[in-house]
Amino acid sequence: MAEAAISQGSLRAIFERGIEAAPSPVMQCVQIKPMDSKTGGDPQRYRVVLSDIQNFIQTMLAAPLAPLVTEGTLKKGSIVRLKSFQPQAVKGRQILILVDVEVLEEYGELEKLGMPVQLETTEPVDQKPQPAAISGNNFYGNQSNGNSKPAPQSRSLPSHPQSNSGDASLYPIEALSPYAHKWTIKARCTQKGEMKTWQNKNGEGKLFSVNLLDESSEIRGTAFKEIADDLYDVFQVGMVYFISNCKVVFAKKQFSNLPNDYELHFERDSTVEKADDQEGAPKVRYNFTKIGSLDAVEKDSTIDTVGVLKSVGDVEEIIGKNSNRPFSKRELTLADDTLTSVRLTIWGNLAMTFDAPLESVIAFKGVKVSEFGGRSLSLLSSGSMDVDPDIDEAHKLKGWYDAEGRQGNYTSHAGLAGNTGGRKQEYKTVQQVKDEEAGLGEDTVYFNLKASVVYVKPDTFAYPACSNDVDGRPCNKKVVEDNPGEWRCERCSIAHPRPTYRYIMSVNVSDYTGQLWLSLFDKEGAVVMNMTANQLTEMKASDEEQGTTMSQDAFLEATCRTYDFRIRAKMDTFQDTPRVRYGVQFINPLDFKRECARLIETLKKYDIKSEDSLFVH
Amino acid sequence: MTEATPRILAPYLSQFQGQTVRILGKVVQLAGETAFIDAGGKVTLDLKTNRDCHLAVGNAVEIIGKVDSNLEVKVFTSTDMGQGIDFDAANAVVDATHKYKEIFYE
Repeated sequence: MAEAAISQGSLRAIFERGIEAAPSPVMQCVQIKPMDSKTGGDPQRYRVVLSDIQNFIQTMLAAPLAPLVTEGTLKKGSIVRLKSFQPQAVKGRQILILVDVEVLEEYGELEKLGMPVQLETTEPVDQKPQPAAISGNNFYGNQSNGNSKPAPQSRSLPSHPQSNSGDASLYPIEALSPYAHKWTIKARCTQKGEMKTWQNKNGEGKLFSVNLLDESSEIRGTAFKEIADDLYDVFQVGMVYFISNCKVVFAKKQFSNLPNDYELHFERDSTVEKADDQEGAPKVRYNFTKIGSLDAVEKDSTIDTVGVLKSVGDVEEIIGKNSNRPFSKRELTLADDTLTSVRLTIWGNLAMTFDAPLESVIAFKGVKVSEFGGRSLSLLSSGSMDVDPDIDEAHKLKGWYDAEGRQGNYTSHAGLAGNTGGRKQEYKTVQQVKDEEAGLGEDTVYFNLKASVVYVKPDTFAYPACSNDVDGRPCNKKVVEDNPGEWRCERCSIAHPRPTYRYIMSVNVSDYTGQLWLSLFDKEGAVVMNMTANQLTEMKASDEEQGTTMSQDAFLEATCRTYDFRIRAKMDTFQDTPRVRYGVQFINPLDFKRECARLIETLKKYDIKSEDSLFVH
Repeated sequence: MTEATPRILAPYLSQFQGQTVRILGKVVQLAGETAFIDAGGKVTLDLKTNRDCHLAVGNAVEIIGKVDSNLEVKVFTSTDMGQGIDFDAANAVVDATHKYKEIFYE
């Protein structure tokens, strides 16, 4: 029955509680009257009286819907569903502007249902004081007394009521531009900055900014001076607001981390209202970059990232260079499943009150990448931090960390500070090493090299050393065999019956770009040869006596093995020729897992350059 | 084996319909004559032609099979790879082979 279909009482609900109280209400059309257009060329507009059985109300049919009447779809007595409409109060009377309706033709045209009465004009919902000119359009406000509004201005769109949610012209943030005139957005405030004051030659002032987010995009809004005072308390992080009538200007990218060409300036007649429906906008949108890919990110760019908190530094106070004001800062180390870690600095209040537990997953939005010490991150004042957020990426990281990440070795992005004696963990190829030889100068350069042993020089691979302990460490000075069976150390003045041989070998290693001679000392030599220097010396001695080739075999065995070398390169002057000597500090067998991750990252870099990434990493 | 069996993951199934392929995935579920593995996405395996392949849930398995029209894979043979497979690395390898496919298959 048609009566049942009608949303009885919806009119009252709309005007008392707002548009959400009656979504898509169904009403009966009890009267249709055309309105004369004041100026020629205006499409016919229709005044429609709608009833919800309890009340009736005047409505204006928006111009695009006029054909519904002219073609006879909408007739007196028809039942209609209001899909999109705007309540308005005009000269104390309530009316609706109908933007989109659906005629429910199945009910046909009926006699007026019930005995509706004119809706009483109670206080309108959330009405802000209306300026006299709501760019008066001539198609409403014509009640039976035919009063018209003050001179119409723009008639292209219905003007936005300063109050009420469910604005018909609800724009997505993405559609905002300086050319859009009347718009309303429904967005969540994802970040509110602190009130900042400035002084320059023009005087002084204050401002604050907010980040606003809806399903389409995000945008930054700034309010200055008195407007800032008014709006500062209105905005709360996490709440959804209807915002309209701000100036849309080009964004000042240096102050904002949001991917929008425009930003908003709140003006005196901009409106900001808390929305009843807080669910309409997403919480925060992240676009994460993996920590391992940071090498490829340009410095000073802004990214989002998520990682497991590996370490937290103490709060430090530093004095700003330019401002001479004290800042608090704190360094965190984050790592993720690319097996790389990076330092991230947080500032101010956040640094002082930071207390997230180690090994928690933290998502950061609005982080600047800098080249300081390799690659490091800094949380912008417009950025935000979320501990253990309820998003897929965070859960994935947590799962990975619990399973493997805890034991993993991480390559650090940070070059200086907080690393093994502050050295860069940079991998070079042999070609790179050779190219950079010239630039070595007086400094010692450290780098990593993944290469295979190709040849071990069999002569002079070890020397006899003094094994006497000096200050807890073996003396290791070369001992001389003065008399057979007596090896004398000059430093310690002790004679040893048998010296301890220590490796001092030259090894030729090779990677796909070239070959290089490295010097290894005892510990590393033992890894390469897989035996101690003493053993090898004995082997050699017995070879000479017995004609065996055991030592030669041993040397052969050492070849064709790939290791991860940590190398120190230093310029030495050898009989008037400067030569670079490459000494091995550490030697590590390949950790396949880490190498794999590193190779994947390297491959990805090729992708990023060609903007054609297939990796579903 | 004279036949080329490109290595694929779930997202590539549609590209290789009707072809014989190789997939490395983690066994997620066994259901009689079908099984489900996770190889960058869910892949359904049809085991009617290879009943005696014993798949263990949670283990990695490499299967060689043919992709049929409803994107299920008829298994010809399977090899259990046990635990400890780094799937991230393995999947990245597959993606790399497709990106540079001239090197790997026609």
